[in-house]
Amino acid sequence: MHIPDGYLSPSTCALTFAAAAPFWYLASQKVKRQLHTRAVPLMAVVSAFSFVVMMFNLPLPGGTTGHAAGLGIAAIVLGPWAAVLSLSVALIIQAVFFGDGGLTAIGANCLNMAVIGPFVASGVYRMLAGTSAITSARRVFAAGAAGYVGMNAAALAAAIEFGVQPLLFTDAGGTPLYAPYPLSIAIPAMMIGHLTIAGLAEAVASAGLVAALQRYEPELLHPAPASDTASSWWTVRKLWAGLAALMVMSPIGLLAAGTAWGEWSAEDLADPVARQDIAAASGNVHPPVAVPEGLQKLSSIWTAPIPDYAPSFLRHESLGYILSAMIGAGLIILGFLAVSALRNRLAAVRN
Amino acid sequence: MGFLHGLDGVERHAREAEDASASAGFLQGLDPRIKLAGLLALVIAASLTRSLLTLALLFSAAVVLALVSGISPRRLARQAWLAVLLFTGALAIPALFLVPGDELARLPLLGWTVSSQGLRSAAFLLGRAETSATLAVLLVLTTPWPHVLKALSSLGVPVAIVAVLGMTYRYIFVLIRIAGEISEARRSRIMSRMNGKARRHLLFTTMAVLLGKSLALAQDIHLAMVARGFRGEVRLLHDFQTRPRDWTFLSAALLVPGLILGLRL
Amino acid sequence: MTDNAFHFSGVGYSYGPARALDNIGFTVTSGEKLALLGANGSGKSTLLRMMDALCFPDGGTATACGMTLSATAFADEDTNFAFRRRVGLVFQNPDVQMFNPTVMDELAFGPLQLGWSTTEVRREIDNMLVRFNLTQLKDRPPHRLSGGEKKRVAIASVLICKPQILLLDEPTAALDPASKSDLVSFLSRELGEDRTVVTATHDLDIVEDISSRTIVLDRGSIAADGATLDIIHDTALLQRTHLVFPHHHSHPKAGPYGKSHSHIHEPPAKATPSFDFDHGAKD
Repeated sequence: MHIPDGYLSPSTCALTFAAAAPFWYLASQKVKRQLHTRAVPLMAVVSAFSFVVMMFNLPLPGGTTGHAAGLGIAAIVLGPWAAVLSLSVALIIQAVFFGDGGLTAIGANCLNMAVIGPFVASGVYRMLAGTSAITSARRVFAAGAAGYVGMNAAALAAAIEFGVQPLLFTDAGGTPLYAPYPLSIAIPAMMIGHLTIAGLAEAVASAGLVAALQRYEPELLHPAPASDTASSWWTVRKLWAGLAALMVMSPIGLLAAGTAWGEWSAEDLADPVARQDIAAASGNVHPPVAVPEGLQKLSSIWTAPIPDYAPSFLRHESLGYILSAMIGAGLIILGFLAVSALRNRLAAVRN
Repeated sequence: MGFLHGLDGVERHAREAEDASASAGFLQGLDPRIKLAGLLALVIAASLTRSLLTLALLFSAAVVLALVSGISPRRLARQAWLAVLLFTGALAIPALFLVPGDELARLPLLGWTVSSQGLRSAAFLLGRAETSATLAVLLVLTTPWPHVLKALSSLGVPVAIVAVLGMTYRYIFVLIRIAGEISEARRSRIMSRMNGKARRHLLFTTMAVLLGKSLALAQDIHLAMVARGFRGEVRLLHDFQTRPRDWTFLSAALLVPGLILGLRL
Repeated sequence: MTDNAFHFSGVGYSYGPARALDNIGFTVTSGEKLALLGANGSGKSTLLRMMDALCFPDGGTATACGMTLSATAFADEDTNFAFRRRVGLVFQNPDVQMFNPTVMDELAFGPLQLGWSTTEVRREIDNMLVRFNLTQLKDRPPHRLSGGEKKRVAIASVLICKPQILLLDEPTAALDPASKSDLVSFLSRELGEDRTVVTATHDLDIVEDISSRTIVLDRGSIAADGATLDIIHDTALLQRTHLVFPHHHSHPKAGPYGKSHSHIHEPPAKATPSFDFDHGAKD
């Protein structure tokens, strides 16, 4: 599920970088605050561990082998925030040094596998494991489920990123410029593979490691200090809401503005109506009033960016695709918020 | 050690990259910062372009860069092209039939139609993936990893992240070795041929013990850093110098995405 | 007072419920060459780390270069900084000691942390590369160095900071006999008259070459303190402290996972099992 270069448009890549950035920032702040000078060596060694785990050939029941993305393991053992950093570092090294995953897709791959995946996994794990004993079988099951659900959430996010490409980025002749399959194909194609093999690999790896840790290193399964875990979800609700907005707004915004996001012409910036559209597409962050000088200079050679593709795909069944993208994104976020609400409720009951 | 095959590949890849980057050639001679920025600009260009011709030119440019840097097409094929072809190629084939558009050909028996849009979209996908993969491999084969990292820091990536990336790379090899030792030690106690379940069990035991050792290792490394005056702030020593040809390369590389954007190529 | 490199009195240290050091008292004068001799688990690594202010006594008093070794004293940045400039520790495991991407970065780490100017750092690096015969290895990553090369880099990376006091933890562990004798002759040549050197080891072969005085540790307590020559010939003492065995056979080298040195890891936030990294001759 490492998205290579060329599958996602530059604007999608920028958007996913923007979506992952606040998580990177918050995670590094949290890790630095908790670990001080220990942060650098610990994150490095744990990232190396994540990398090595991703490289293991995992024998699966049924005779095939698979690779775990390590997101379930990292989320359970490190907690979601440290997992964000260590998985991101491992993914960056995979992309830059080993060519596994694209350079321009680093943002998307990290968003899927180092943010969405581990947060979902850690939510599922905490919900299912509850207050059960460290060595209980319930924790093994919870870990398996966490890996499975986390992996599939990451895959769904990737499928949505793929699926919106042909809706938004086609040339004048209707040729998809990036990943060519619409959501109606991308989502089932991705999910079949991940609901079976890849999800199974992640589930087996997470459950297997937790079972082994129960036997050999039980102290590593002790949950992080309460102050860390209890607050983390709630305090960043806004971040998640922001991410949801980005995901929902980006396709809608593109439709509304009638231009590809980030590809406004100089006239668009000067025209008050277009400015409103751009603002809507940018999640109500208003664009600069003055036309940037560079853009104005370029505008003589800047032909209008395929102005009439938006209406053409509105006439098709693409509205349905957009709706399903929204529903998919919304489901992920709703899932997050529901899990965190439930957890808070449980915590309140316990105290 | 069946499950360690991927890890052997890591070490082999690293050794090859280290050796290749030490040999002479055009890209090897460039300032790492310039090279990173320039190659990145070309990767972005490959992603920006809306013309197959431009994409083909970019791909040729990448191959030329490889040739003048002493990297044979054979090596590119082995380290980038084949893997991309297998993965992206397989993924792109259905697009020939699934993307709606003008009929170009019809498969004899099945009666499926190949659309010109489908063919072009498959070509875009494969072309972009191959071009970017070639450029990424060029970076790694012509630049020692520590230089890539220092280049990142001069391009604005925070030093703490650069330090973590460097240490991660360093300890990947240590952990690979420790993992090998753990699994070997445990395996030697099992005389019979292992079935899937036993291999899984061995793997998870290895992972669990490895995790414990990793965390203890991190603690000791921390002490070793503190012992040498580490107070949380990383400092790096740069050894880079730019020469005129660096700037020529960078201007040329930056011109490509600029032209693509400006002329909508 | 300032002539003493270390002054320990009644020092104790506990690792969880286990007593790692108990009632440790000694004085080391400046320029002295001291060996801390002890079997595995005798507490010598813990003591060495305490002498480098990486863990602090939970009983008794300890000073190094006249500075009190305590967590409160070292919470002060300036104290910490002044201490790190004077005292250097070479860890036993080169994988712990060498955390930088290349040999050159390894050498640069300490001086850069101590705030040297980059020209000074560069000059000193070149100097050390020549002295330690490392010029060819300047850009090598640590995973492509042999065991002996790693050891040389590890020692160079600490000596480059010009510490007045050098602490060495098992410098010859896991080295083959040839690299071992190379290292020992190198150490006796390079360490100089003025520098205080404390070496923790269980290797009786090297004690005579690297020290004039030896403290024998046994299960966290001082069993003997005297001239090295007297101690290495006191067979009864060495047997009692498990440094030699009554029935003669050579001391087993640390095997991959068999006989583990039990190191006390500090800070013990949670009990991690102690273990030993095997450092083979080559990766």
